[in-house]
Amino acid sequence: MNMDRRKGSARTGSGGPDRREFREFREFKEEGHGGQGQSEHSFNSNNDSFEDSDAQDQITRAGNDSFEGTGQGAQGSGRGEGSAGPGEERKHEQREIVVPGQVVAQGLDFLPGDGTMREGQNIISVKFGLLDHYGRLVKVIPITGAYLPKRDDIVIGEVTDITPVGWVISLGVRISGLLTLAEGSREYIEKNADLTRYYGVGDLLVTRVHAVKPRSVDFSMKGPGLRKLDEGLIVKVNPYKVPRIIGKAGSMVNLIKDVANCNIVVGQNGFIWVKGKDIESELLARDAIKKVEAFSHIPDLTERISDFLAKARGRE
Amino acid sequence: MPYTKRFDGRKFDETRKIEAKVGVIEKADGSAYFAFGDTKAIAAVYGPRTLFPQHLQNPVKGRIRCNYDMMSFSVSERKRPGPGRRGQEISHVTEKALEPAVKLDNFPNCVIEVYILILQANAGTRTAGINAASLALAHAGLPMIDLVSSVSVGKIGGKLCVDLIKEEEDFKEKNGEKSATDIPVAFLPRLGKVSLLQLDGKISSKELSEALEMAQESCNKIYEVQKRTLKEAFKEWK
Amino acid sequence: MDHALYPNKNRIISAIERGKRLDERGLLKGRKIEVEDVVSKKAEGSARVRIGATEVVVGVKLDLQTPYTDSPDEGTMMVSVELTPLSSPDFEPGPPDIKAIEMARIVDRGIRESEVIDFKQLCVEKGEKVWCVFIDIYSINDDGNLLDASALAAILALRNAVIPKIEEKKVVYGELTSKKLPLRKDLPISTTVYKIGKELVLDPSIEEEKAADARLSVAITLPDNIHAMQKGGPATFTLEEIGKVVGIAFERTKEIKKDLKI
Repeated sequence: MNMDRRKGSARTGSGGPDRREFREFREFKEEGHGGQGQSEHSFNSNNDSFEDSDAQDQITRAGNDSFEGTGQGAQGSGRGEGSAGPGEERKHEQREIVVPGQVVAQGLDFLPGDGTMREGQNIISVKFGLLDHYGRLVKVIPITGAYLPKRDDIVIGEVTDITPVGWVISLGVRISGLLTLAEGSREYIEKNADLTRYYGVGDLLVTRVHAVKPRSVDFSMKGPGLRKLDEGLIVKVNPYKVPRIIGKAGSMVNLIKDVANCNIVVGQNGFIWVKGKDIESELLARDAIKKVEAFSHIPDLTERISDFLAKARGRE
Repeated sequence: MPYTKRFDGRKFDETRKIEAKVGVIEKADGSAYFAFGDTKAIAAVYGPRTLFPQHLQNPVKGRIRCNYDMMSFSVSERKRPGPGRRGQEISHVTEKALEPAVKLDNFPNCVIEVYILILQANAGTRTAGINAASLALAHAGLPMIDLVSSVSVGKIGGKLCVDLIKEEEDFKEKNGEKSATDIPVAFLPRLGKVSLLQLDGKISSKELSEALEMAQESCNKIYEVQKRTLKEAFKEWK
Repeated sequence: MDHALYPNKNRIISAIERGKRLDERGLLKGRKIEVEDVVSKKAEGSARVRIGATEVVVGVKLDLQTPYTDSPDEGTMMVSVELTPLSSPDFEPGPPDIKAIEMARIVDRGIRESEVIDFKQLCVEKGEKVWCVFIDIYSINDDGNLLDASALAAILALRNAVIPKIEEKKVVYGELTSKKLPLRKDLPISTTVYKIGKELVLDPSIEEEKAADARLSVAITLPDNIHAMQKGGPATFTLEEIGKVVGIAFERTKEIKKDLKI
């Protein structure tokens, strides 16, 4: 299915503001694998706090400020409405909530970014969400809605079927696609291989959206950190809240990981895998994640979540 | 007999009490409740998701599929559960009323499902349904160039009224002759464009244009309520 | 067709086997129940029930019908369940499927077999006209345990139902008499206990319901009458477990009756 939002008129800005926006995305982009532009929002444990670290050292940490990717500006900015924004926090400032059709800026000095469009002198919001300015660029960060796959999104999906040509991966209601033999593993898979040796029905995978086609989605397991997940707790959140759950440079998810002592992988589709030493740790992480989801519009959220976690820990 | 005072005492250009809320169905991607007095509608939006069967898919733009139904006990005489011809037609015109507001070219081969359920009916169910659905679409984070606001207007016993109730729709002159014209209208209020228009009854062209102006004024007020409802949809920290 | 994913099955089972639920409830602890009487003025009786995030609306309509020949002096009843696509991504539009039909039958038998409605009093003219009680159940949000929510809402809607006026053998809708629908005092309560892993669990969330292998519904009136039962799901119950389920259902019934003062 083609759900590519990049075609929408929402993205009309010239190179300038786009690049600025792109740089802000960079702040939480993973280090070292820029060439393919994967997994901006997928995080993993820093393997100091938790054992299960076989694959995760491959996934790089968030928030390496020194990394300045080049050559993928279009990639970064094109991530469009879905990834909303870098989830940064502005101190003591509640952003304005806007509705579709609302005039959010007047005059030609401003440029319409994601979630907005130009109409004569005015820039109009086309989304229900939070208004944000990046210099001259005006955008609206949506806060609700269903997940739409975009190329190179790192997502968590379930194997729902095995066919001769590969595995069917489902991301939820009527969003599914194929993980082909060619993309199924870093190793070569023989044509008649027993595919269940790799992944069986019911397995959860951290996978990458390889291609978004008119009627289907293709996945790939080639890339750092992509793997079958051990059994953990899956927390479902609204996909538009994912940037907030990650936080600026991974601050929010790292806070939750540290205090709850859990390993966490965040999928762009709103599926979050949590694994701790016991279910109690996982539920604490879950509660914190759900709190971020419910109150993503509140300023100073990291501090509030930090307090919440400290209190919850104190009660134990 | 001239209609000089409305059955429920309202002014002629006054709607019934409006209640609106978003986020009423946790499982949906977007949802809303909208009531004109005793006429109560809930709407849920799911998607966009891939449209099946495949031959219905449009490679250029997405589709809104609307499903309007009344609860069996929303009306005086029990309505059999499930859609009848009336329900199907209303689903269809509702679809067309909502479509111009949504940027469907962003979603080729996809469908946005809109489900409207009427809890209680006292005329104006399709307009309440459209108002709820418009809120639910915005709440589902879909790209829209405008909201959709809807109300019925009519000529009752020679007098123009907005937001008709059942007694007005059934209004009869002293001689027993029916004298009610019912015109459900929906506007894209910011753009001032009409996306739903139906008419039953008898009205002159001059009266029609007056009625439509009344409807527009009323829709602008409904629009303000809809905007406020969305903006107030956020919880306080606790 | 791809439905919503419920990937926490194993986590739920292993936690429950340690006596723990993901929402930190005890295994036999129900969620908060909220009820609202009269949600539709057009219905002869109606109610809304919320159990946690699960929500159903039930309406009662009365209509005059010819009685069945084998019971010419008794009113009749019909229960329908609409699992609306509005209430869950798992439900599709269309006529009721087997899940909805079974649910309607379970609610129907709890009401019918407990004889909570006095059908004799619903006879208007023997062999000619009797009242038919339509109980229509609509799901608004499915977060698990729609069955118990539906059965409870049906009882509450019956409780506030009023008989409409008749003129010249025809029903005058909108004009209600002061006559309540004739109900027995002992209202039946339906309780469904789910088997998740090896444990018995009350009032599951949707994720828990999807992780359950079997369920057993019991409709009872106090002090000690079991009126209807239905086992569902692929797994089995031991006789000992069935005894436990019945005990749980009685406890639950007392609790609900006390909390809702019914």
